[in-house]
Amino acid sequence: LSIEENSKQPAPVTLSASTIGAMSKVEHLKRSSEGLFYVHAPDGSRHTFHSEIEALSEREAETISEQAKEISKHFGIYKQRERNESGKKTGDFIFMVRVKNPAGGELTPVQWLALDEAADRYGDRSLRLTSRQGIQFHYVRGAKLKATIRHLNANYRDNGYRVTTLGACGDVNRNTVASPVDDLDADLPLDSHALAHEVARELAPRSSAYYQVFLADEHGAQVAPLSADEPIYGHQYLPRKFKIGFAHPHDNSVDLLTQDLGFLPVVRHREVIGYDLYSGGGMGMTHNQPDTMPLMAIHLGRVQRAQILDAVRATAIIQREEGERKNRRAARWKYTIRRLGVDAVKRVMRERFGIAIEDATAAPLPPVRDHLGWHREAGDGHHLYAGVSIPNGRVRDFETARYRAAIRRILESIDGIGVRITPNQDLILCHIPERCREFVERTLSDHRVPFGDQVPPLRRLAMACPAKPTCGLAMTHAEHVLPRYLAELERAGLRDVDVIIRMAGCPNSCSRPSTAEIGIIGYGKNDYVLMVGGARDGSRLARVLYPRLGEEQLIGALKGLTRAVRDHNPERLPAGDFLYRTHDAELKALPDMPSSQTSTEVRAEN
Amino acid sequence: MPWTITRLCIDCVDTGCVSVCPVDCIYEYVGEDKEHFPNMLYIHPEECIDCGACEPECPWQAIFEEPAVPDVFKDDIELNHKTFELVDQFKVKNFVTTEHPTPEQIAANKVKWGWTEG
Repeated sequence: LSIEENSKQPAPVTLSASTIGAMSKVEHLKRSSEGLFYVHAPDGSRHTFHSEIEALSEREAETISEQAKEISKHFGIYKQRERNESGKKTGDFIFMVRVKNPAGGELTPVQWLALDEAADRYGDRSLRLTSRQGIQFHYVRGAKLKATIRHLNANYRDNGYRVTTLGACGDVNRNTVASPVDDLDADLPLDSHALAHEVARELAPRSSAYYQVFLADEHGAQVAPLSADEPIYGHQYLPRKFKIGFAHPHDNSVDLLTQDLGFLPVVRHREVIGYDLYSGGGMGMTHNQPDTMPLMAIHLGRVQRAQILDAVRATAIIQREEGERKNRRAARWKYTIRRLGVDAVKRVMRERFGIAIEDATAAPLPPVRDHLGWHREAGDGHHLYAGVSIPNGRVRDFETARYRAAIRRILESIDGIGVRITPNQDLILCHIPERCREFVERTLSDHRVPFGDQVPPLRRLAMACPAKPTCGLAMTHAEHVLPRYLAELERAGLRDVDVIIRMAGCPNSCSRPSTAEIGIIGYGKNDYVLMVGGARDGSRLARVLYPRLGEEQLIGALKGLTRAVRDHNPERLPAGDFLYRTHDAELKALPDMPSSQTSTEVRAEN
Repeated sequence: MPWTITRLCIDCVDTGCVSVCPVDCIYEYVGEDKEHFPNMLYIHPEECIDCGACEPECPWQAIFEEPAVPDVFKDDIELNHKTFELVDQFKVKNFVTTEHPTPEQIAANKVKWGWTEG
C-alpha cells in the first residue's frame, strides 16, 4: 500500500508493517483460532471452541473461558455476568445473543414469531430491539446457548435470507443498517436496501466454524463444508468492529455520519444519480483518554451504484492492512483514515482499487425521522405502514402495556404484513391493507400500547442502551432509569417539547448520545456526562455541557434544558439548534440547572 | 487492559477511585500478611472493565493502565493480581472523605518511591 503516513503519529502496529508479536492479545487469539475454530489457553495449550460450547450444554461448565469469549463475539454471543445494584458482577453467568438483521431491519411474521418464541424458551421473555436494527436476547443460560443459536437459525429464511447471529458482534462488519422506509416512502421509493443486503453478504464471515460448532445435526453431520478461508478478512479479521449504513434522501434515522461507512442516495428528478460516500465515523470513546473521541464520518465524494460493493470491500481491506492492532482504542477505521489522511485514502481507493470517487458537493442530510403513527406506503396506494413506539426497544409484556402480545396478535392476523426494526429501536408494521387500520389501532389499544399522538414528542425519539445489570461495559444504568427521567419531565409539564434525548451507560455510546440534542453518557457510579446541541439531521456532534453530574443534578438539568427549549426559544428553532447556539453560561444560569461544580466536589462537601 | 494501583498509594489511601468505580473492583487487604500486602488499594484485574474512571480521581497519581505502569512499579501489577488468587483476604473498600495532598506532597511521594520521571 503506497499511503504516505503522517510521520508525527507514533508508529502504528499494523498487519502490513508489524509482526504478530507486537500485537494485542486479542489479535493473538484471533490468529490462533485458525478461522474461529480453536481457543488458545494462557498455558499454551489448545482446544476447540466447540468443546467449550459442549461443556456448557452438558452443564459441565457455567460459562466459557476469557479466551473463548473473544472468539464467541464473532458468533453474536457476549459472555456476561449479572451485576448487582452497585454494579458489581456477582450474579449468575449469562449470555447475550444478538441477531443480525441487515438492510432495513426487515423480518417476516414467521421470523418474528420464531424470535418471539425464543424470548420465552431461551431468554428473559423480552426481545430487545437495538439501535442497529438487530434483536438481542438477554439472560440466556449457558446450558441453553447452543439450543438458542440453533433455534434462531432454523428454517426461518422465507424472505430470502436467514436469521443468524453470525457476525453480529466481533471484529467484522456488524449489522448493515438501512433506512427502514427505503422502499416504503410513498414520495420516493428506492431499493438501497438491496445494496445493503449485498454488502452484508459480501462482508459476512466465511469461516464455517459457526456451522460446525452450533448447527451440525444431531448425528454430527455438517451443514456447511469445512472451511477456514476468509478472503476479505484473513485470519486476523479486522482490527475492530466495522459499521455500514444506508440512509434515504428523506430519512437519516440510521445516523449516517456515525457509521464507519455511510451511503446517501443522491436524487435528481426522482432518479438516483449516485451515492454520497461518507467514511470514518464512530461514536465510541474512553473517558479521560484524550486520544479517543466520537468522530463524524467525512464526505469522500460520490460513487456509482455499480461500485458500492467495491468501495466497501476496498475500505475493509485498507482497514485490515493499516488499522492499529496493538492498542484497540486506536483501532477503529475513524482513526485509521485520519492517520493515513483522507486524500491518501481516496487516492488508494481510486488507483489501487479502481473506485471512481467523483468530487462532488455533499447533498443535504435528511432529518432523523421517527416513523411513528400511520403513513401511506409506496405501491398501489392502498397499503399503510404503522410505526409503533417501543420504549428503549424492550418488547415485553409489561403490566402497563403488553407489547409482545399486541405485536404477535397483529402479525398473526393480517396476511402479507411485514415487520421492521428501526434505528430508533422502534417497530414498523408494514404492508397493512387500509381496511385493517382500525383492527391494528384496536389491538394496540386493547393491549394498552400507546400509538400515534398518544406518544408525546418528548418520548418519540428518546432511547437508551440496555446498560446495567446485563452489559459488562456499563458504568451506569440507562434503559432502567431513562423512563423515570422522562416521567419527571412529563410531571413538570414538558411532555410536548420536541427534543431528542439519548442515554448510554458508557462512552461506547450504543444509543448514539453524542449526536442527540441532549445526550447522557454514564461516567462512573452515579456520575453522568451531559451533552447538548446535536443536530436534527445528525450532522453535528453534541458538546459537553457538564462533564460530571450526579443523578439529582442530571434530572434538574434535563428539566432546565427542556423547559428552555420551550420557553426561551422565540425563533422556535429545533431543540438541538437552540442548544447549540446558546452559550454554556446562559444555559447554566437557567432555573433548575446545576452549578458548574462537579459531582465529585459536591460529594466531597457533603 | 485492566488498571493497576501502584505503591504511590501506600498509606495515602485516598478513596476517590472507590467513589467512581462502576463495578466495585477496588479492594483493601484484610489478611495477615501485611509485609507483602501494604496498606494500599488494589484493583481486581478480572473485575476491572477498563473504563479508566478511577485514574483521574487519585490525587496521588498512583493509578496506571497495566502497560503504562512505570518500570519502578512493575512488581505492583502482580500484587494487584493477587486479589484474584487470594479472594478471601481482600474486601471491597468503602468511600471515605480525605483531605487532598498538596502538589509538593505528591511530588515528594513519587521521589520517596523512586519515581523521578513523573
